[in-house]
Amino acid sequence: MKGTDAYEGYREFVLARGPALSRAAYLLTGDRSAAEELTQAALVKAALRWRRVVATGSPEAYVRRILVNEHISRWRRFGRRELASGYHQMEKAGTDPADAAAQRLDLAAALARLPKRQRTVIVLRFYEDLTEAETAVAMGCSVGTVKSQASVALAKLRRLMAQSDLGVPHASAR
Amino acid sequence: MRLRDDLKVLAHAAPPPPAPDELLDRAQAIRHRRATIVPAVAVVAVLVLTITYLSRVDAAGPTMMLSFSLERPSEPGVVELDVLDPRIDRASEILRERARLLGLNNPRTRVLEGGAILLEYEGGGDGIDLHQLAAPGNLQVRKVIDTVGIFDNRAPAPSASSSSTEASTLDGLIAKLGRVVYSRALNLTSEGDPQLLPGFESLTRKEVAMLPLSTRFYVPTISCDQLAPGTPPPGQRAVTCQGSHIKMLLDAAALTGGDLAEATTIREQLTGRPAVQLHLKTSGKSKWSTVSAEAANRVGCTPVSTVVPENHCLLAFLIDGEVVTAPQILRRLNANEATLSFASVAEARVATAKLGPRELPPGIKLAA
Repeated sequence: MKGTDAYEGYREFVLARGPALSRAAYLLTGDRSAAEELTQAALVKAALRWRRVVATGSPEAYVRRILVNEHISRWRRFGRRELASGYHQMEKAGTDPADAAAQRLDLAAALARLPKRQRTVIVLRFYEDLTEAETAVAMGCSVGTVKSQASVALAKLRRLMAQSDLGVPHASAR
Repeated sequence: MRLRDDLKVLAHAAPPPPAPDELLDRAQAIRHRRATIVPAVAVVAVLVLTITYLSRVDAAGPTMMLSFSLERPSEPGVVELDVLDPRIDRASEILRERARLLGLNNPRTRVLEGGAILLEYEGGGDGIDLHQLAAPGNLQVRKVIDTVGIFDNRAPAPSASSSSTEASTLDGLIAKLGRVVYSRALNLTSEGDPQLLPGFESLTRKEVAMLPLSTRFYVPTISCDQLAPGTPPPGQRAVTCQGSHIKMLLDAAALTGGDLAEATTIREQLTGRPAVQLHLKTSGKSKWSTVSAEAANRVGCTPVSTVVPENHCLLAFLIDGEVVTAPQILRRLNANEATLSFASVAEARVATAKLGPRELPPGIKLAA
């Protein structure tokens, strides 16, 4: 700790929740270095207002919202990135049976082709396991928007996956 | 495989999170930089903003905002649309065009989360209720079959709260009025005697809507307040009011907004009065010619003998179900234009703004 109470509990938070945030950032961006930058930016922002973050009673939800906002604003600044290469490298090094690995390759490519808000909904709902209401809070939009974005995103994922003849991942949601 | 499981496997390739000390060092550095640079930047920013604001106030006034939501005409509540939905672009275009026609300065729109539209402008439109920007602007031109005066020596129209004895069926309504009075009203072919038609003045809108059209029209104690508001179905006859003392029986709509190509605010050359010039499409031009000839030749309508000696029929122009004007038509009109006079420029602009732009996408209405 840097010798001040303003950051009390911050180090523990980063150690405990940092990996999960980094994984979410990776799924959001589809790229390792972009995920690294995004996670770092979100956590530094959280540090700058750490007392307020703690005062919300749910630091993880607050930091996740920073992460999502940062991702969306970066996307706006730098434009859409088609970055499926990171996913591909990981899959190639994997040990899964060939079909499953190939299916994840297609999922990675399909994810990378989704618009940023749809990709964000998929990550928050099906990876982070957030409810529709929690997803709405994290994205700063209404539950209705979450529902419609999720529905459109799943349909698009299914379409893209079907084009590869490898079947469609089944989505279950709370 | 489930999507959730696949995502978890994909996420394993994520990089490790940054070290907490590294993050804290960055945060401290940012704090330090802000402490020295931000005050200087703030002073410059305040100066720039002040100058910009003053020059804007000088030129056109400060930026003002009004937000609009999109609703389904048939259901209460806001429709949430994706910001990329083309219907939002369409509605935004219409809002900007209406704002421009109303005389607002530099109108522009932004789409908010959930599909709401924010209209920004820099002054203008003084004295105009800007909520009218959201009005649908349905135009109808109908031949006036007949007119009657409203008998105003009557009790005030009932309020919604006094509808505890409201009849919900025609049988209930007949029982409420009395069979004799109801039969008398049903057989009217001209304006009835108020003394022989008691009870109609206290009916609610819903009850009045159950009565046949001729009864609604010929019973003089049924007031404008008791008639259903809004645009009547174009293919049917309708009863409406001009002002609060003249009731009109109208033929089915001869022209509607679909026959209109454009509307512009003008000043009439002869009188100098503000007016709206309606420019008709080819389809509208032939309908206009037909209906004006019928009115001029007194076909299917009662001539108005008291206004002009020529004794021709009236054509009513309705916007959103309200009669804007009802001129007597002296001859067949073959032009592809029609002019509506208004008492003020503001009224003319509102009518132009409502009628000028094309229609909203189906299933959507604007609400201010």
